[in-house]
Amino acid sequence: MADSISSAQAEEPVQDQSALIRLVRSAWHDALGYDTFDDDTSFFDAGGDSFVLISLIEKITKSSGLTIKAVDVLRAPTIRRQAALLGQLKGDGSGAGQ
Amino acid sequence: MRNPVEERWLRRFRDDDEYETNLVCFPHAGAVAGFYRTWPAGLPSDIGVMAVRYPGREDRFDDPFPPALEALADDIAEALGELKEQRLVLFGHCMGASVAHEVALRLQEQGRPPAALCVSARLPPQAMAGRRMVAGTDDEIIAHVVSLEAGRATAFENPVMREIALPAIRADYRLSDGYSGGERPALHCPVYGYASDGDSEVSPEQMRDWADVTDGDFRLRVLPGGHFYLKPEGEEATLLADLTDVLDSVTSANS
Repeated sequence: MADSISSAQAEEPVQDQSALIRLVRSAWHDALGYDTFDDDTSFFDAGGDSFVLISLIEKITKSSGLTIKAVDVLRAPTIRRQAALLGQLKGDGSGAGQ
Repeated sequence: MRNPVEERWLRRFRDDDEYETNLVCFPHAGAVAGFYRTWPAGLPSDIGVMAVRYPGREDRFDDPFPPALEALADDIAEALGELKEQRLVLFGHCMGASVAHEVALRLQEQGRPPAALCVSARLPPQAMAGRRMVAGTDDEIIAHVVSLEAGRATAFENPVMREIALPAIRADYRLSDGYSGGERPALHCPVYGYASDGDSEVSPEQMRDWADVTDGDFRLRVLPGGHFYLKPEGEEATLLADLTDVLDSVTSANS
């Protein structure tokens, strides 16, 4: 029993992270109206501004079910870092449950 | 190789080091480099186009605001150091015009003056004394922003928007109001002024006094519209056609 739990925990983060990257990538596409080149480009270099950022936050909130702060998204301006932020929120349970 | 300081301060809309001539754009109070993102499409393809990223917003949300407009100009002039082999034309709108002018003075002092300075919708420095101050409460600042750009009223009703945009707007208004201008050393490059006929902030007549900041040529263009006449839905195309002429003339004059 203990073994199966620990192996599930070991695999989950990797799967989880790529699922979160897909989720964030899709939210970027919906907010910007086009695909972006890579997961490490800044949202603002990709053509986003504060108005689009707010729409992005709404989309991520809706599709992830997590409550995210605008300033945290600003401080994590790339797809990869926003996915990591969501992973962190999921992990410490500070998301939807609040 | 570009240095990290330059990257932090400049957003390049055309990512290429080979341009001999670069147009460097300075945003207005509370604005971001992306304000100019539509410009490359309206300018000659052999011109590099970039805009200054002020601290305290977007990518630089946690970078501290400069204590004064002059300090901001010091930082930008230093960040532009890597471009010293290239010909620079500076364009600033509103507060950005004062910043661009102060940067032009610093570049000239360093022996690498800009090829031209373009200033839009802003009082010249010698007319700054005794002007009306805006910086007060957040509500007063928002009321002023909305008076210039009615379309932004709904954005300020959004608490998230206020949270992410207001710190930069507030800081820039303080910076702008705190700038005393006054008599500045003369530039030697040509200065091009842009005014709009319905601007509540500055009249075409007041814009004409930018002639006094240079011992070079001065020319004023007056376009229809309000303070934000330069937007794509306004006179952007006319302005960029005029800037294209400016860029052509500095390129042929200095080559």
